[in-house]
Amino acid sequence: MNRRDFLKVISAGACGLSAWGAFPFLRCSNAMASVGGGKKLLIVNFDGGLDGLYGMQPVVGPVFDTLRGLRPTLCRLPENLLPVSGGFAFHPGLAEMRNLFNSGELLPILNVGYQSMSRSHEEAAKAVSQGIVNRLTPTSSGFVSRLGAVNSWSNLRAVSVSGSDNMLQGEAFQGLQVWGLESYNFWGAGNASWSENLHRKDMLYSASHAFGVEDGKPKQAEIVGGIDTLVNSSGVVKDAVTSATFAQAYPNTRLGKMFKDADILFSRLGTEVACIKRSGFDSHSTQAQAIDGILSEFSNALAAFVANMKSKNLWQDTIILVISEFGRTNVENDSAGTDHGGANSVFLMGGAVNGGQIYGDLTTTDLTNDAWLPMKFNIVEVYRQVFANMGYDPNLVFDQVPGASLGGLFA
Amino acid sequence: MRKISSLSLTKIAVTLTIIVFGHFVDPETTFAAKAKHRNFFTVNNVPGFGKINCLRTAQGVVAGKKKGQKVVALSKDLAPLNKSLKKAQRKNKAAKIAQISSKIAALTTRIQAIQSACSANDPLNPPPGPSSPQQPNPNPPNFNDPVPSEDPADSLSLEPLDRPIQAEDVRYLFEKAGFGFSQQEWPFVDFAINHGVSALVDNFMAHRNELPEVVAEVEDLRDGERGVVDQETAYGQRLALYKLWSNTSNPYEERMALFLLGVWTVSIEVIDVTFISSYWNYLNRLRTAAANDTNLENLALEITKDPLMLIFLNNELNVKGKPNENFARELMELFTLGPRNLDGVANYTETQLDGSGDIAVAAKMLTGFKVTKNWTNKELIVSYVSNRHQPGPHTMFPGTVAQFTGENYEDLVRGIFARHPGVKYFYATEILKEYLTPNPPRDLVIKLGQLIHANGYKLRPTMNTFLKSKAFFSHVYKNTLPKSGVEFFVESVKTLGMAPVFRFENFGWQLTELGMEVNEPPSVFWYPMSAWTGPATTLKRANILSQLLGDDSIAPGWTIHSVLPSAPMNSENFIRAIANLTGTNNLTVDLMAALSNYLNTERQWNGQLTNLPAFDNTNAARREVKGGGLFYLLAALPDYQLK
Repeated sequence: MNRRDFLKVISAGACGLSAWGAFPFLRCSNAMASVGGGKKLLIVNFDGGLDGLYGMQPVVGPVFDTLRGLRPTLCRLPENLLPVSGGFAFHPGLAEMRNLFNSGELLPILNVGYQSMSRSHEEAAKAVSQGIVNRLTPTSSGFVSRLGAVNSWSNLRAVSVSGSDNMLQGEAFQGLQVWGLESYNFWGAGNASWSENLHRKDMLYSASHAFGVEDGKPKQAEIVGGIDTLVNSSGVVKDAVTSATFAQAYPNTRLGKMFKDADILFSRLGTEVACIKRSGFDSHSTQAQAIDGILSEFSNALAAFVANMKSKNLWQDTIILVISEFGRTNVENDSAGTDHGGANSVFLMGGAVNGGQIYGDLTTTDLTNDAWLPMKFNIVEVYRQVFANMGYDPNLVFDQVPGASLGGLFA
Repeated sequence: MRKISSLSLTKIAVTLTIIVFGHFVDPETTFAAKAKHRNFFTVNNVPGFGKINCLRTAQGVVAGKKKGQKVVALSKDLAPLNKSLKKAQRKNKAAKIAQISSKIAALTTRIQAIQSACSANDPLNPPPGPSSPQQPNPNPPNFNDPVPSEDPADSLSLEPLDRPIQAEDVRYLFEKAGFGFSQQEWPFVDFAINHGVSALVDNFMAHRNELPEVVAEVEDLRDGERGVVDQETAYGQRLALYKLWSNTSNPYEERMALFLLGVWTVSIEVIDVTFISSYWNYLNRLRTAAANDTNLENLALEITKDPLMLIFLNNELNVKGKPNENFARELMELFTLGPRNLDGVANYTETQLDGSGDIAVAAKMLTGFKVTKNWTNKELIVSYVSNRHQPGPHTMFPGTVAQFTGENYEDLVRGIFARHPGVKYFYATEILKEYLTPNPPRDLVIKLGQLIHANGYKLRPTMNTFLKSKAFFSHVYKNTLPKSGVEFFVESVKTLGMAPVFRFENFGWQLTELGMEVNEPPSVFWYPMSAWTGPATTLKRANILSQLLGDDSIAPGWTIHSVLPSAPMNSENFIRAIANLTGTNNLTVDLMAALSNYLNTERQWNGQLTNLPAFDNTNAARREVKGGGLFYLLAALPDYQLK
């Protein structure tokens, strides 16, 4: 792909290059205001390896007894949990997930993984973010990036609000990746005058377009494309952040801010895929101390998000997908923690999700046959179903998953 | 009494020496004792002298001469003459006074000539980093030489570069293996052109004493954020590091320490602020390894026993019968082997249900450590407790060429380095990804890996060969690596000539915006390279530049005029001067036209541009505004963002 093609893809849809003029920000703002509609996907990535068996555990029968034996401190008694139907219960910090389950808007899918699973953070995270059926057949782009490329999205259609995210990265399409929407804002050029300030911003665009990208230097093209994007989108984002309103206030926490940004993206900026990443789940020791607080933080932020999406009549079109690169070992270690595991639970939420039930099953054999859970569903099949529900052809983004298909995830 | 008299005469000699040279030269300096020091250097073919020896001290460059096998300070030769002169003056012997004075004058002339030769050929004079920020360099090197032709095989060769070195090569070395290339470092260009790439790299890597004022300010920032609080803090540590990196006289070593930190990542998030100095101790461990001839194996052993690492990756909890695999896994995955070899085959096996597998075995070998917290002395004390250790023998990598049997952590680390073929390729890949290109070619990884192994895993000789190689200077790799947040910021502060006077504590939250809080990284994986490109990163960096250029409180006394050319010149030459400053000489016709248009126009409130009188650099106010704007624009472009 040459630079022209690269820029074409990067800029397509948001603000046409030919539209460049003296007021790029205003022009772009008008163009962006018309973008929107359709389904919204919020991907919540618990970085480090969420212990799915800790977030939602069995509480009845032999499988509970077995887990209790493997995890004497981390497997809690039912009375200390938030039970739901199906023999499972949520961690006490995840009250909002329990609420959504009970209202039929949350669907846990058990034992999700990919072929040739890895216990390496890096390898596992790459497999999950690339959306590949088998880790040994990697690609060079994230699955959201591929969706953006085939649909010629603008950068604002897929956004990470927690910085760099491999899901959004690829040669043909890069989603916008920011550390919070509020920070995506030009401060102005120091003590220069207002007009000089604007002159420099204008020139940033012109100069980047006049820069000679060398053959074989993809990072040069990436930076030029990045300048294009920021010039075209920063003003729009600033306007949206400034004017956004919320029926329910978001908690002033890391996840609270991220969910608030996702709200703005969905309700004000026409974003279709928003990505949130929260680290802190690599719980090799004192797991309860390490992640209980984050789970509560998540639940509180989620509650505000759901309330706001409902108040804006967007909940029915919103899908929340909670994933992590791998689960943890079935047995707890002697530091009251867990080590890197295999398959994990995935949680789907939203107004159209066929929730209130457990998808898949957990057996005692799953817990004892190996040190970690076996994969029963490929995560790519989850992605495929989600994209199909959003109205996109998953075959243009993912390979087919051999074997069982996941049906009935959505009502 | 005689001793007192002798001492007095020495003082007189010192006084005279000060008068002669205008600065202090320690008369007690014995060059022989310091000849092995890395501040010692020789200059060949000095007209009238041949080879001369020079020594760099905290007081400046001191010349010497060779006397037999012993190197003696020339300035010391003045001492007996001064003594004789004093004696003649006391006895009022005019002829003797004239004779001795003549000898002193002749010797002084000779000393000054040698001193000048030393100074002129010392690439560290002025030293890297601080110099007067108000002294614009009137004679910039020529950074616009055409790109030399290159054999395609050069990009895979560790043979020494054999073409003439260019100014841009010197900048490239400093940008890729140091912290940017400020005006104060431009004298390296002449040195490189006169002495070649080998001497350049040797001098670039040479250890020098940090300037005392830099050391003092680093400590002041670290220990209480320059008096803002009364204890060492995470924020203060970061301020201190920015100060050090911006002003260091050892860019190779500090950059290497930062690279090692990216491999052997730790975070202060796991410890109480009481013990925060353990991070500084950890960093000093890496810095010492970078400065000395430490090999990676010994460094791995040291870090395995480091209290901060023991806590960060839970190895203090890894005890007999109660394994914790966290450190064992990362020791192999992140610190020595990587998960897979160059052919994609796993370098080690996972823990199985029966407790077998390399990670589980390694964890057993790593048992035995205990970290005790001394709250009074604010110390973390590491001890090895035998009854916490899981007795062996333990067998690693069974059934492979790497198989070995050992007992404890030392056997494990030494066994991995001695037996596993993956270590050398792991470090080769890490070095190449840090210092050369994001996707290093397999052939080059193999060659560098073999070099690392041949050098006994010693970093310094490996880097010395690598930084002199055809591959390192191959234009294939230029502008392929994004600068990290730290590199971008430090380089900008240096390039603008602000480093000596920059008030890092006044730049607080903007530094957070860089997205690289080195003592609190997001995970054990350090920072992904993808974090350093993209629109949000570019925007943040543009914002940082705006603040650098526009906030008077952050660098008292500094103005941008210190780095801008002041001579009359047209738009094109002014743009080229700023491009030289920023190392962004890839100026296409279109880019030159766009920037020239910027210099010669002014934006109105309605977005229209009106013409200004043709730029000639005679109006200081316009120079300041447009010079700052040009810096802002060029620094946002790929040439500045990449290295």
